[in-house]
Amino acid sequence: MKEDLIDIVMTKEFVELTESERHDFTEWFTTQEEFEQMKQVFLEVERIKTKDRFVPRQATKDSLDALFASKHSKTAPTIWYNSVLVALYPKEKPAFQRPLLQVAAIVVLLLLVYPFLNTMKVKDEPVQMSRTESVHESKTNESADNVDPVVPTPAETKVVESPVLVAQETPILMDVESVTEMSVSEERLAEAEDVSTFSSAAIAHPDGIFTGVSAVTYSQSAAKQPAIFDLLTATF
Amino acid sequence: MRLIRQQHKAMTDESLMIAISSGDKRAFDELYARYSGPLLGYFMRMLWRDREKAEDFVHDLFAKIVHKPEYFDTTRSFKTWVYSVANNMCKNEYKKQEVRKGTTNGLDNHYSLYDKSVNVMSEVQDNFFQEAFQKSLANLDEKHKEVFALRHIEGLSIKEISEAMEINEGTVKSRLFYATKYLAESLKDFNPIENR
Repeated sequence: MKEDLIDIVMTKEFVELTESERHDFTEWFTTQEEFEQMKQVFLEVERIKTKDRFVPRQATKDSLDALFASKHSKTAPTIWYNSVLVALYPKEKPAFQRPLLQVAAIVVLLLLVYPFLNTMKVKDEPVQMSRTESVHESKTNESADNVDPVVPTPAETKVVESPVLVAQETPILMDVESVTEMSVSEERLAEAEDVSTFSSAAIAHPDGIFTGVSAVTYSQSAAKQPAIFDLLTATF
Repeated sequence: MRLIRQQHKAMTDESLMIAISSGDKRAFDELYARYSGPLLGYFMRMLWRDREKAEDFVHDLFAKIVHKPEYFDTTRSFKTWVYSVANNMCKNEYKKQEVRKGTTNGLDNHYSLYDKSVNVMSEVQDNFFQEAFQKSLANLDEKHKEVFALRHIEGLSIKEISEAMEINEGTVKSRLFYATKYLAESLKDFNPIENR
């Protein structure tokens, strides 16, 4: 009823009031003068509400802040954790909308997927093999000088302690005799950086005839054998 | 951190009080921002517009909130509770005062401003009217003044006023009626009909 009185007094003029309204508010006003006085009071109250907005001094707030700090100084970390937890784990939201759980789910997915990603990588690393130079012999009358420090193919050559027969891709044909000479030449041995030979074992075959393939391996820089170097470049 | 501030702005007064009990400084800042201005205005009106005294009362009230937040019953409305505390503080102050202190701008209480030259004096008359209204409000009896200020200026409902002042709603309505009639009667010198 009070709200109706204020609304009626504020929005209507005395002459606009109905009979029922005048009857309802008889105790408040009976004449136009009383009605207008009531309106003045309510208008002034509205003016006070809108214009008289007081703002306390900053000193009051500063004093209260100091008081609060002295009272709750021991629980300061709790304030920070509470604030962070409210942002990361809001209780009013469903579980799947909480940021902390979302981040945890992403981390778990990455941990599960990472091993699979690693096994799918193609290992393209070359097999490390020693560089050996092998010479392929055959029964031809090729010059012994055409010894070719053949570039070994990694897939076919390997370094072993025991003599191994190695087939080369681009054979340099040599006489058996020239091979023998080459193998036993001390000069060549001295020049060679690395020599391994097993031709003596083959030549020393009890039958005196060796029809297989023997190979003499040694390594020597191309600069010391220019003829062979030329042959190599010509080949390629 | 802006997200945190928005959380406090969305919280109810009662939730902020619970957070203050836990040592949440931002909750206290938010509650202070909401109620410091209205409470200062209430104390200004109830304490003869004494600014210094009103500032002190605002400080004391929030200091009670800092020291003893457990005094607030979370099942109650905070707005009702805080104005109840403010009302009790004013009652205690009235008891200390032997003579009611009133503000004056040098005008005689019986000075009449009835003047037919409305257009020229209207603005001056408005200022005098406002001063007279404030004085009449200050001259009201405390219990009527409290009810009138809480209802029309602070915006509390009849029910909230009855809870804050611990009186029944019928008493609130009757005091409100008396205060309104008194103010209207005291301002009749301004004769609003003829001043239009």
